[in-house]
Amino acid sequence: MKITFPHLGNSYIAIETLLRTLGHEPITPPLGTRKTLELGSKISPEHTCLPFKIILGNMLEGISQGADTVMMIGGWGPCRLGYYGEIQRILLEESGNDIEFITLEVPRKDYNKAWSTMRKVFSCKNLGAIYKGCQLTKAKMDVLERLENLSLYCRPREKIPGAISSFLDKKLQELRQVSSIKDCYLIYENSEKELEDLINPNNKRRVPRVGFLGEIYTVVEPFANLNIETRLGHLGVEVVRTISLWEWLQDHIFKKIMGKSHIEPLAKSADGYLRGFIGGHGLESVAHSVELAKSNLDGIIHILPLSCNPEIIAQGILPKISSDYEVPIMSLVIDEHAGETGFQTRLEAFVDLMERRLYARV
Amino acid sequence: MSQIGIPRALYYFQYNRLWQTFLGELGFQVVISPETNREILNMGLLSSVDGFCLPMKIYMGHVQYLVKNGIDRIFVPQIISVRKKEYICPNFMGLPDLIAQSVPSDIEIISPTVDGRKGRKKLIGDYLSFGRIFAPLERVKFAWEKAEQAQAEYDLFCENITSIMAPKINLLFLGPCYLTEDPFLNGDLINELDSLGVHVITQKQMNSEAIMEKQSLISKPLFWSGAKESFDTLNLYLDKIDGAVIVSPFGCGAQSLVNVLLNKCLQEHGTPNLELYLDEHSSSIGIQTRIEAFIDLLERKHYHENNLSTSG
Ligand code: SF4
Ligand code: SF4
Repeated sequence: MKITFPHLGNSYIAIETLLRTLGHEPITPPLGTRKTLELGSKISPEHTCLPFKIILGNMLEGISQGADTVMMIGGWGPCRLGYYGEIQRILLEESGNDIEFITLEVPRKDYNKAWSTMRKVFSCKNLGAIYKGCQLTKAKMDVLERLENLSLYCRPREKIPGAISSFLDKKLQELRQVSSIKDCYLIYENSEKELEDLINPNNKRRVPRVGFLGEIYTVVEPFANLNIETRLGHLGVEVVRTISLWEWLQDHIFKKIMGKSHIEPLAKSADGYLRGFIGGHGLESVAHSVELAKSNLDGIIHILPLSCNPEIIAQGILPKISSDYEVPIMSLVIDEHAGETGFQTRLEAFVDLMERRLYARV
Repeated sequence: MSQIGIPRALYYFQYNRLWQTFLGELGFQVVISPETNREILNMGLLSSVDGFCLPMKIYMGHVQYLVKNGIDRIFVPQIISVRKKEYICPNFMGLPDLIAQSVPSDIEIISPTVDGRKGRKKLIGDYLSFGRIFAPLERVKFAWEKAEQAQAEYDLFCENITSIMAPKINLLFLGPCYLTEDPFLNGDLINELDSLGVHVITQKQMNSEAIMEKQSLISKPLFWSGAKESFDTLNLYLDKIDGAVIVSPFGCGAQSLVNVLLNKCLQEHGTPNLELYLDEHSSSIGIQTRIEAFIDLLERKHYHENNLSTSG
């Protein structure tokens, strides 16, 4: 099958490997642009959340590049994400796209259907090869997140503006091509060394550090968050992530999302602000904000798409954390009309605030 | 006797009998905020984050109203799920914590966690152990029985009214009861229609578990109770109605996804339908004009069909 799939940060690098392992041809859609969003919006219900529209746009672009199958993740709530796929399937069908739609999720009730889906997905029967391919996928996912984290550290410290971003792009493309686990980690090790030349050794300025959290899709997908991590880096700020995409994917597809073990430590951190799971990443946002506020960070940026319920609840609670711990926290609401200029101005003002606070203390 | 306030918003419209009786039997004097009005809406807008959906803003307003009127104890349950394997909107899970941030700290938020995901037994257990805070077990059990009975009687009453179809136009309203039951939010639509002789069916009386099994209209099981109730109501009445109105709160992303499914079903069945989005600026006149035009259409269709059948 020729399978297309939505973008989620740089995960396409790993997904391509996974699909090839399973005997399919990956059709990676172009990275998100305004056109992607327009395509998706055109056939989306008006009031649904932004991620839905961009994801649908990715699918449409993948289909126009020749994909005959769309792959998407599912789930069982409480957030709408679990139902995205089903609605997208209908919308694609209604707009005249004759494609197969595969939803990855733990099945409920309809086990026969789930089984036939699995049979289609696992068209390559060589178990050994599948196992090896999955290991490679995992390694790529791991390395790409490590590379991203490295660049988050280096960007505010770079010698030549923009050098780190182009370095990262180059390394990611290398990672995309390699086909052994050893090569993946070699890329990482080399990067660590090469990066040393790209950062300023005698910069004594203390770099402000900002925690970054919120709704997972907008956190991870640069097109949705207007490249916020890069922007902050260029403003001289180190971004600290709280979400690992790989962990989230594992959780979302394979595990019972609301497993106690997962919730309890978070609920403990959020104690006094929120009593437990509220769907999506709302609890994480509150819990991580408390944790970050307690650690030595200079600020927290919380990002969410318009009308995203779990994060709106978090947005209502974060000001309390901000005043209790005296840490600046900014919630950024993203919608399809988000303008670049206004966005940049808000970031600059926030960075200003963090810097003034930081240097007043030093 | 100590007072407790219940905001007349959100799930109040579904569980008012249950809550009121239960709390009353536990020894509280229950005070319910008045029907939504301009003042309540404005208070809600002031104490809300911009991104809230309209029903949440209204809820905040009702809480503020109660506080302003000297009620220092407010019932804000944390409802996670009302039926097995289902959720309701994530908003309800965070509601009590959110409310706690928006009222003065001497206001007591009384807030049982109700989680029926594991089934009805668990749900009842949640209510009972909540009651135990205020009264001995025997008394709590008694209170619960009375509460359930009161709610059941009311549900039955609603069901009986709905099941009598009108000779002329029967119109199904799909959407959360906190929209269809709040005259301020919907521009007093339901009463208006009543006076026009249109029989209105809402999904309010879809509490019973029995119907929940059918899900023939859609391929992936829904996990939101509200949406399921829409479909169950639709399942039940699809052949008996002349048209359907889908009411959604402005800014509710969940509802807009469900509407795709509802529209599809209605279209496939050839049932005329109208989508209404309600927001804090929507004028009752605007809503009424659209509804009247829709009723006109239904009447013409009705007339046409009847004439055809008598003449042909
Ligand atoms: S978490 Fe937010 S953006 Fe994601 S599906 Fe839920 S409501 Fe939409
Ligand atoms: S379902 Fe929609 S309208 Fe209802 S509370 Fe949730 S977001 Fe608001």
